[in-house]
Amino acid sequence: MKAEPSPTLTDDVVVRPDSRPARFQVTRSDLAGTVDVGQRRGTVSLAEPNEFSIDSFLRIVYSLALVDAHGLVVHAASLIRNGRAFLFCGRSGSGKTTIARLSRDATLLSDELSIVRITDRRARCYGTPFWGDLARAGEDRAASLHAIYFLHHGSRHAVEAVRPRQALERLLPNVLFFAREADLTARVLGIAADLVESVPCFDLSFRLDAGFWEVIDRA
Amino acid sequence: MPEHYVARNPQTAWRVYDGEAVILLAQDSTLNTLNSVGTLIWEVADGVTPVSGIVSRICEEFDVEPIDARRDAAAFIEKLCRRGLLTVSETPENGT
Repeated sequence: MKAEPSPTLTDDVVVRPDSRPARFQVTRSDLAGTVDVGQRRGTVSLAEPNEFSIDSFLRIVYSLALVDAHGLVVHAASLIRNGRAFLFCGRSGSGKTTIARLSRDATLLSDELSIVRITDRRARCYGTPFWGDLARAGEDRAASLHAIYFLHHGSRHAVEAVRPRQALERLLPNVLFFAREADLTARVLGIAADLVESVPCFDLSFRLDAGFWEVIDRA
Repeated sequence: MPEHYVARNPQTAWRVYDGEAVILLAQDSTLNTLNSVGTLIWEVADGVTPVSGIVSRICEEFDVEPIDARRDAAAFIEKLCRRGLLTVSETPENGT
């Protein structure tokens, strides 16, 4: 048995359901807002004008709104290559931006936070306005998700298939989610489980060149 | 010795793959994974089945002596209680 704290737990963010269905109160030291998923509306007040606060609020909005759309926000780079989307999942420093930089022949969806939705057991990946070190927003495009890769720095390029349980263990700490209610948590777990059961998942070891695409294409 | 009853925290969400459970605790997003024996205990922890019944199930499904199963199950249940995943009561959840 092992326990891993989620890296997406940001203790200063509090998301609580409102008295109305599908409405949430969001508070953090620098912001206070309301997200009404049902009405598709939100309001936020900032302690100071700050683009980072707005960015943070939008991340929370996306994470809440996507649950109803059977989707998730994932700490991952995502790219479209030859018409198929690829998700490269990992924490800070895992190489998401590096993967994006090395993929000059691919369309960028994000180098930081990716959106995945599942419909009829088919996953699609969507471009997002969230960026990492690349400092460039993803294209407003979507494509069928071909595979998920969990990033590891290595001395060579290698891919290894992972079974759904291991994939779920790797994916969940990278899912961006803030609410602490049991029903929402169960729905997020269900979406994540559907995702790893509907898409092939791999560990990807890579070094700092674009050769990783060759091992991906061969796998 | 009084009988005890073990119940899963309702603030958890979980899935079982190949006999091994992945458990997410809502209040702090802690992720736990259990091996096959732990998963059996988890699945049987309905608040109604006594610990002696859980131990019997373990002995039925795994090659283990009752005394060892009882000791290991007690340690495991205590660990999951500390993590907030299980609760132990001296009465079954329906109060009978």
